[in-house]
Amino acid sequence: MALPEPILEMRDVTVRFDEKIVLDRINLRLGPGELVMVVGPSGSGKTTLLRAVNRLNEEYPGSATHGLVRVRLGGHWLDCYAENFPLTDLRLRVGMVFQNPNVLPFSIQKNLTLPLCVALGMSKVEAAQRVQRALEDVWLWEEVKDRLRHSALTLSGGQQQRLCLARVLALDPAILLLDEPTASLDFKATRKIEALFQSLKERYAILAVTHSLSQMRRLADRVLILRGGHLVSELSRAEFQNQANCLEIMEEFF
Amino acid sequence: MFFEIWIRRLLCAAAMVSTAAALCILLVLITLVLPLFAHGGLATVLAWQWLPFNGKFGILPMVVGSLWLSLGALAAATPLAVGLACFVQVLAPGRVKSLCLALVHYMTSIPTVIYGFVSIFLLVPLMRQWFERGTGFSLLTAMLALTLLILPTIVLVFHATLREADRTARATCAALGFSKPSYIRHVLLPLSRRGLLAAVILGFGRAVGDTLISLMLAGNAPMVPGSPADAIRTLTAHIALVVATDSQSTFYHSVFASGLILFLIMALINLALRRLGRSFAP
Amino acid sequence: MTATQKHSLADTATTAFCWSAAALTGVAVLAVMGFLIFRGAGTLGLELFFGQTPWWDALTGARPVFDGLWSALAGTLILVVLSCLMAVPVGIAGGVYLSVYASRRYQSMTGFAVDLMAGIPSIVMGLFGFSMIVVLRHALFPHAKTCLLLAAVCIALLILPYLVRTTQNALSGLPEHLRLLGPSLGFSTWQNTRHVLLPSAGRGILSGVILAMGRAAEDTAVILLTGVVAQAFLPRSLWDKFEALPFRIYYLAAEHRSVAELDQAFGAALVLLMLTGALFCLAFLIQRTMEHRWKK
Repeated sequence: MALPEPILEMRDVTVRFDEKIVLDRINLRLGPGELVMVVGPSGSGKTTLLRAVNRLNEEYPGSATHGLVRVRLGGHWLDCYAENFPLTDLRLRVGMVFQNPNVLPFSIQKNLTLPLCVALGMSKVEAAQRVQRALEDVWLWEEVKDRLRHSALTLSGGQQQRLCLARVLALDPAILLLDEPTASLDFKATRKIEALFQSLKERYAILAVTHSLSQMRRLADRVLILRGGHLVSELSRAEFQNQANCLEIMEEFF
Repeated sequence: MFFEIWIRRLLCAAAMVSTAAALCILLVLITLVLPLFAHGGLATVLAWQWLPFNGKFGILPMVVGSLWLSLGALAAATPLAVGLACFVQVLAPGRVKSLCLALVHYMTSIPTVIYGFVSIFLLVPLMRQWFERGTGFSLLTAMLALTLLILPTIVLVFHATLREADRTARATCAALGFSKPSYIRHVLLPLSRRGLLAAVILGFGRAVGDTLISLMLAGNAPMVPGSPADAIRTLTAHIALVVATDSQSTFYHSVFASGLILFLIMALINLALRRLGRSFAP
Repeated sequence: MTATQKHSLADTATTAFCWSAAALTGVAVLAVMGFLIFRGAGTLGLELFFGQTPWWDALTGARPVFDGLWSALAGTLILVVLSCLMAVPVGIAGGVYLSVYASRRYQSMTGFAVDLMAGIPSIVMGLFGFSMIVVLRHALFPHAKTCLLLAAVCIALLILPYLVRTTQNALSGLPEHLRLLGPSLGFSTWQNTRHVLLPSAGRGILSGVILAMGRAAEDTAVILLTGVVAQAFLPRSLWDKFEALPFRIYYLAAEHRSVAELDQAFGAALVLLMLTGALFCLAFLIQRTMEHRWKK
């Protein structure tokens, strides 16, 4: 099967925090419609890897990033770290969902319309029109359509996480970065969101971090194994589908 | 983007106000003390007798008074604070614990003038009886009131340290069969030494900087105390008295010198706290 | 005595010590409050505040109040409002800058200045205000004197560092994923601050403001040197002398000439205690509801 033209490429990316090397010469490619997962022991730099794509590492003092990170948008390659690529634009096209659902203490409606108004500059009316579609995309519409004005804090953990996802999707990104999105959810909520990711995969390129090997086996098209800031291995779905194989590989790298 | 830049500048300016104000105050105090160095006034001010109408402007008795009062109150308040903090963190049963903590927090909001005021009617007659001489306004009276004033400061800061240390150590020690009092003595307190030092330094700062308690209770006699029953005057009360009585400007130099000494003491305290890794404001 | 006996003796002693420390403190505080309530409760009433003047006339300023607390209470309230109007915006803005925008070095340097300001004894702050007048008298305005505006500015400077610190702590104490939320959605720093951080930290900042108000209300040392007097009625302008509750208490304690004046002193003390107590409870409750929410 011919590889489709990638939508995200990282070449020799090294990230330092105050002289300590957290990521060392990472190379990866992500194609549209792919769900690539990054796994590795704690402290191996998985979150830093994700944040290198939307430049969130720069929110921390003392960070320095070297190497090339580029995304293909509208047919052209754009260097994420270039001077002429505004940070805000980058982050609108590359959306991120965090481990803890970080809904804001406002109504469900406002959680969705606020980024649209502030980041995209939409009017309140325009933003309100997008709410239904965003919620339908994450299978939340039927559950909350009667209480859009209620506080988002009244939702369950799984619903909150889907709301965060809706918030990101409403901004129409090309790439999704998921940082252990089901780590704080219970079993049922996790399964539901995993099914959601399977369906979203067709429209977006997804780079996700996970701690759970079973989740990896359920969802990933490809797996990147990170250890101590180095990319030690890359596995295709065929290679880790076999259970015995998988365990062996995991033992070796962990 | 313009908007962003201007917002940032505005916020930066606001943050600078504190720095500018601190520098300003230091500058003013130094400028007003400078003349002392010129005409040998320093020797006049760093002397032991305060008899303004005889031309004697020594503030050393006030320095001694401040030190005695603050250190005395500190000596009384620290053991109390340690006991109270340990009580709250380890020994107190559930409801009592939150009640106690809330009470200590509340104490920080009681105005100083209230402590002084109540002490005048409760403590002073007591002191008068006890010592059988003097007016009841003395070093000891002020010390007792000041102890109560600085107690919550020391307790809250120390308790914060205790809480952290307790979180990691309690379960382990319980599993090892330590009784609660033993746990306090042998594990918790040694672990929290640094926090106690910071709390004590903070308490000292609070004690030295207080004006009203000594103004209302210590008798305001500008002399070195011979016993706790003697009246004393602190630097802070001295400033209040000299300025508020609207005397001639020749007395002001001593006052600015007092102010500068106080400022420098507080700066030193802040530096000491920085070394220990804490800040002054809550 | 065997080792075990010594051990249990030490244990008992420790427990007894801790309990007595708590009991002693509790008794002392309750004694203070109880004494005031006992002696002051009886004086509470319209007469305490307005003396012989009818209260409506007193409130509108039509007739002056001679032997009531009204001018002192009004003076304190005006002082608190003025100083907070000056200090609160600057303090919150400064705290926002330090928490959100400033580099680590800058935070450290400015943090030190803020701590220094927080540590300045209030009498030295009053001295600073007083010396401003001395300087002004020699330089530009020979008629400069201590007044309400001066006192308000000095108190504003006094409470400013607390506002900066509580704002900074409230913002920095927000969980990390919330602080990263705005940037991850493409917000600029200010947009993130305005739409995400400030609403979330709002209660912490608010309780800091209320505590600062309490501090402004109870201060005596600053106003002692910057324009408070025993009798001034209601200040007509910013350049007037003024009265204040804490000073009234101090003054009456030292120089009361009759039982009536002593009673007024107790009433005043009780009023001040209630005022600061109310502000404290408000701040405490706000702080608690906030902690509850983030702990979930």
